[in-house]
Amino acid sequence: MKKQIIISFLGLTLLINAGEFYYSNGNKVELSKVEVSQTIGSRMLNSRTKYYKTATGKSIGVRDDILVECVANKDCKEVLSKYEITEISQLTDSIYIIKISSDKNVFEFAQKLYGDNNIKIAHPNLRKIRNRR
Amino acid sequence: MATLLFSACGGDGSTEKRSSLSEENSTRTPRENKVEQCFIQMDEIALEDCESKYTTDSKIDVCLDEYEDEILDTCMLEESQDTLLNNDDNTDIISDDEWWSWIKEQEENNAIDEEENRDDKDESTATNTITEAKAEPYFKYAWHLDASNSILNSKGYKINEHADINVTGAWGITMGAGVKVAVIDDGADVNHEDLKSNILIAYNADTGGENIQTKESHGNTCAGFIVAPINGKGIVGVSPESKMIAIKLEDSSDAYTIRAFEYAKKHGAKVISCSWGSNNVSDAVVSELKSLYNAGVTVLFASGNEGVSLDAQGTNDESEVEWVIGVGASGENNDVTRYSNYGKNIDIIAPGGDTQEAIGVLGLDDMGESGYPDETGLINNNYLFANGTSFSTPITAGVVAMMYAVNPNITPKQVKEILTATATKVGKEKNASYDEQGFDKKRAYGKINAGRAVVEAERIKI
Repeated sequence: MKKQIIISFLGLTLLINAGEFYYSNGNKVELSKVEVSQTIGSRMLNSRTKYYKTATGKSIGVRDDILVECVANKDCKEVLSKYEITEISQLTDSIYIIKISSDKNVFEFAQKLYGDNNIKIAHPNLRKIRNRR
Repeated sequence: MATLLFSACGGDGSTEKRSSLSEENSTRTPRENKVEQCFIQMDEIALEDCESKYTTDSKIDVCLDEYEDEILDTCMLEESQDTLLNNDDNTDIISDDEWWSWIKEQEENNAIDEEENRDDKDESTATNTITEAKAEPYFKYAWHLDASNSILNSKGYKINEHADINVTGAWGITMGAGVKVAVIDDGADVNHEDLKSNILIAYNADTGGENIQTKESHGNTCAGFIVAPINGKGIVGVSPESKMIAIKLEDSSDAYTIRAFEYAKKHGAKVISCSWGSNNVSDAVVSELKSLYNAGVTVLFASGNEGVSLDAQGTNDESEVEWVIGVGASGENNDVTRYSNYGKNIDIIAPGGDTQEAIGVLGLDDMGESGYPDETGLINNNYLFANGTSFSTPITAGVVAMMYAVNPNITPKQVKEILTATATKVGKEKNASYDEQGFDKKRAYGKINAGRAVVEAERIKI
């Protein structure tokens, strides 16, 4: 019995929302859940970052922030003003980083922005490993 | 904090696992075990660091909490290298066995080529400076700068005497004065005897502060290949009169990456050297790289060390971006190394060495005890022989810095065109097959030739 409980317990994985995606270079980047052991899963419960894998096996992490670039000659602050954004900050002449409230899905929000004709780039502020070479 | 966010989990199983985890191990996949091992290793690093800084439990706990996000990112994002290896579509390895047989012919060809292209503007002051550079204590081991005068062959290492980048052909004209070069990496030893006088700015992109000091610093070695000064100590950089903007970047997010690039641009960097990659570059980062290109800043990225084609589906590396110069590695045999990643969007190769086949390229290590012990018996612990496209990239960045020095108005487009057009077509006696555009699948447009590139950059000056 104890063994069964242990196996069931260990079989649990942290299921992160499947079917999420963002746009990169005009293409959908489909993401899948990251399965981890119970030990790591419990450790990740309090993490601000959610981890996914792309279809090609790349790991990424996302939080509640999105990078946005508007099309040329558009006032991006004005474009973004119609969206429910908690914080906006200008990274470069053309790239902005916005924060959304934690109850919103960062992928859905980025997709909505990407669908705006005035916006050229909108994807979550992706976290990824930089490999030393 | 320790260097965690650059890929740090070797997964070599060298650390003992915690007993509380042992029951779970039998049901895990190999990947989960690797991730778990990473957590254990990172936990130990964090604990060691926190206990070295604080003595009370409460402060140690706060310190460990601050590490948590970094540990999660490091371990959860770790697998990208494995993915790249699994995506390899062509891993045939170049054999070096027969290289001695064609050296003679190569020597003759290259000698003719270089003689024709060497600039004749060597004046007495420049000659004196070159003499001083060559008098640096370890110059005799720096085959990437001057292979013909390297004494490594007498020490049992096979060095093709044309394996260098013909830097002396450029030094007769410039040593890079007046140009700022940025290295974005994991920090640097700003007090290193062979670096500090050429560090103009130290900036920590993660904190906004100036502390970029890091142990076992990868960035330190990269910076040294560019600007190690002529000071009677150790080595000399490719562009020793240029100044360094050393930027520490460990945060894994695109936003911080962009901030680091912006900082370099705003502080006058004309060249930015990046010896890292994600194999998964984001649109916003590509946009920033294009912006730098349009602003006249040349950015270089290392192609990576897996010996694979980056043209494989799903690989989308920084080194392949149109707006940067992608750099692979050449070796002591004056040909591309076995480990150098390649592909249709990689532009050039430059010495990166091969520590397994020969000795590697000589660069900076940490100063003092934290440096790796030298196994060759040739150098002190402040220096090291290493290999990788990581080092090919700053060596190329040094050449680009000299191109800006002779022609401050040169554009990144011109820089790339000149670098590729003046490159030496290495490996012809092996299996190299340069097409009509001068491109070979594994060697790109060939090995950089500093002398030719600088002469051409000066020639096109308006």
